[in-house]
Amino acid sequence: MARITGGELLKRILEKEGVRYVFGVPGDQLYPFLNALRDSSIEFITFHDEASAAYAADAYSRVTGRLGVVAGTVGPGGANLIGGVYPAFAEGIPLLIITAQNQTFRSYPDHGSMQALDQYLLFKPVTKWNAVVNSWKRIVELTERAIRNALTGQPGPVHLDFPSDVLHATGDEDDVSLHGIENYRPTLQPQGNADLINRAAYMIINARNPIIHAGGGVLRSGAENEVLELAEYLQIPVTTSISGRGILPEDHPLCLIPNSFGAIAAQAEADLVILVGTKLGDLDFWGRPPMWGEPGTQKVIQIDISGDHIALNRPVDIGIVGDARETLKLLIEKIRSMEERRDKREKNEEYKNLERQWLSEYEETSTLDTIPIHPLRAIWEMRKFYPRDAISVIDGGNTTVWAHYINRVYCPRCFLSSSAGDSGQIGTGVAYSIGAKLAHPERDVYCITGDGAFGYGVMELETARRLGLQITFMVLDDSSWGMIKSGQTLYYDKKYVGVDFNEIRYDEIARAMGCYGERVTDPKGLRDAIRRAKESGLPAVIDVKIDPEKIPPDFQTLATIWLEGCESPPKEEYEVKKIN
Amino acid sequence: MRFGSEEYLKKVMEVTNSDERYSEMVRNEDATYTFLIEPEPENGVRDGITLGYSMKGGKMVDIWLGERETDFVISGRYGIWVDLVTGRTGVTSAFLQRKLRIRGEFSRILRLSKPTEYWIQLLRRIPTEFDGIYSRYNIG
Repeated sequence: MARITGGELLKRILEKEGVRYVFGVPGDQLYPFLNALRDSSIEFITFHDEASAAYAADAYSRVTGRLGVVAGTVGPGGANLIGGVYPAFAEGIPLLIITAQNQTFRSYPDHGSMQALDQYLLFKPVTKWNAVVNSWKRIVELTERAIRNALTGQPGPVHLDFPSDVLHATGDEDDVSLHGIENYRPTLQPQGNADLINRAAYMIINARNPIIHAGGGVLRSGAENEVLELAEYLQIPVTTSISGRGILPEDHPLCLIPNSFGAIAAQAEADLVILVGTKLGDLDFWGRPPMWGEPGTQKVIQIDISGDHIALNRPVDIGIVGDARETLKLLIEKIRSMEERRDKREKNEEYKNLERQWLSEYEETSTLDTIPIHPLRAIWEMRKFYPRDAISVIDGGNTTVWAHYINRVYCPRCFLSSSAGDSGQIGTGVAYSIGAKLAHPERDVYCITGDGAFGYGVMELETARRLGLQITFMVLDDSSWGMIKSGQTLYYDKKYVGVDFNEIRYDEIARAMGCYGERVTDPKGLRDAIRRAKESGLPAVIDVKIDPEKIPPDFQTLATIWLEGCESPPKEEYEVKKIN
Repeated sequence: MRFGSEEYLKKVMEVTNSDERYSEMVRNEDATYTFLIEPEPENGVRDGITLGYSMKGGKMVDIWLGERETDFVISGRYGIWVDLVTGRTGVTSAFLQRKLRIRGEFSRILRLSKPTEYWIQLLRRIPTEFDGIYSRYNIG
């Protein structure tokens, strides 16, 4: 007949769910929950900023496939969380966001409390589901419901707003039943419709030149083995969205690096596209010709857990709502019963050759000994140093474009990037790295970040140091918002506005927080610096002074996508300079 | 000389065939091309231009005005061709914006993207006059 607080009850539900970490920033209103965690298998990981805490929870979920949990206090805490939750919302990452709220009798509507904020409405646009938990008696029901919503169907962040009196309130522990996971949420995801799968199988085996285009939904579902099996069985080349990188190792004979010439040619020439777990967003060129075939001529089968994604940006011939892994299992079984394994397809080698041609220039540049250091050279040294299963975190604007060329991904869920999804959120790198390293302490985690992006999360170096996490951060330092400056260089005749920083010694900042720090200005020093960073056993920052004049060759392409329909600046005013 | 004229085409052939680097780049890429340059009356470009050429063994072996059956047909408004020739936009970017349309084997076009970018730079050596409002971008 023990009485327990709302905070204690919340902790017990999270323990049942198997939560290992709650990432967050503490606050007065969270006291009962924080106090409950003192005696728990769950560890509270404190951050300097709520957004970073949310990024860490997000990364933890991305690399484990499990629920991430983040907590913040009322008002400013909730407001600061929003930016951190946005990538998870944009990219379908299951997060439970816990905010403290002022007392029930002071909130909804507020009448003058400090830090008052309508967090229910605030979180609505960036969550899949949310609720105010306005009674101790509803903690179990609403928390289980939130988790069910986060993990069922299209995953996504969910939010619970806990008034402080609810967390402080006590009730009899015998009055509540904590359920096993299988009692409050599905533990298997739904398969697609069998008739549609049969039709899809028939269409696939009769296709002359099919491709698979797989996205982040495949990683969320854990369907990478099924994608590989289908691809190898019928020798179907696989392209991925940026967020789907790692579904197949990028040196696999059937894998084509996103947006490489090989991938674009395969996408344009395929007579059948099997879309799995992706909605064909802007970095997939919206599924439009000429980068894809003409609708009607090029057939499309789409498999997605979300009905809303089916035919979102392009008409489909067969749309199947279902979990990627469960649906592909059925599809493969059907195909195996109808068709023999294929040895090869004529076009595959041609696509791979196009990919090699596309890569060759970047690989050549990555060996340059020029000073200032070419960004590709620095990225190449980092990738070369680490094993295939290292988790790479990429953050920034131009940095992510440069890294796209040369930072190869070889395993599922080992690539985290601000560009790897729909948010394009920069400033995620340090916290993503911390979340990933906590999830996989046995694996190497490295982060390549632009200096602007690094500035958002630099204080979290202290978090990494406190937690004893060896992560190496390579800062590609051009003392500017490089991507925006590139645009002003190319389109506005170098008339710069708001893009330059002062000189900053990021290595010295690192040392001030007890981390390892080193600046590198000569490319010949990169490899040893990376080695020393790792051997330090500490979070390490390598501040690499890069050539600020270099603009990624695809910058203009990206600008074209992002500014489609915008004639800016007017042609007669400025000359567009050729990219060298 | 006027962009797309017979005189211009002959000069294109001369410039193309005198560049050994380009010749080497496309030595094994025999193909025939048609360019459809669409008029823009609202911008003072009243007539469209259809021209073509044939590449063999790294050399431009034939040029013509008018239509023929070719391996590739690339079409777009006059202004986008001006942008390309003057370096105001890249070939890939023009494709992405769907300002240039292609008929033909796409993988081959991609394979030829670098030689094509290089070739367009060669064209900037030719004194060129553009029609209508584009005369402000005349070369030479």
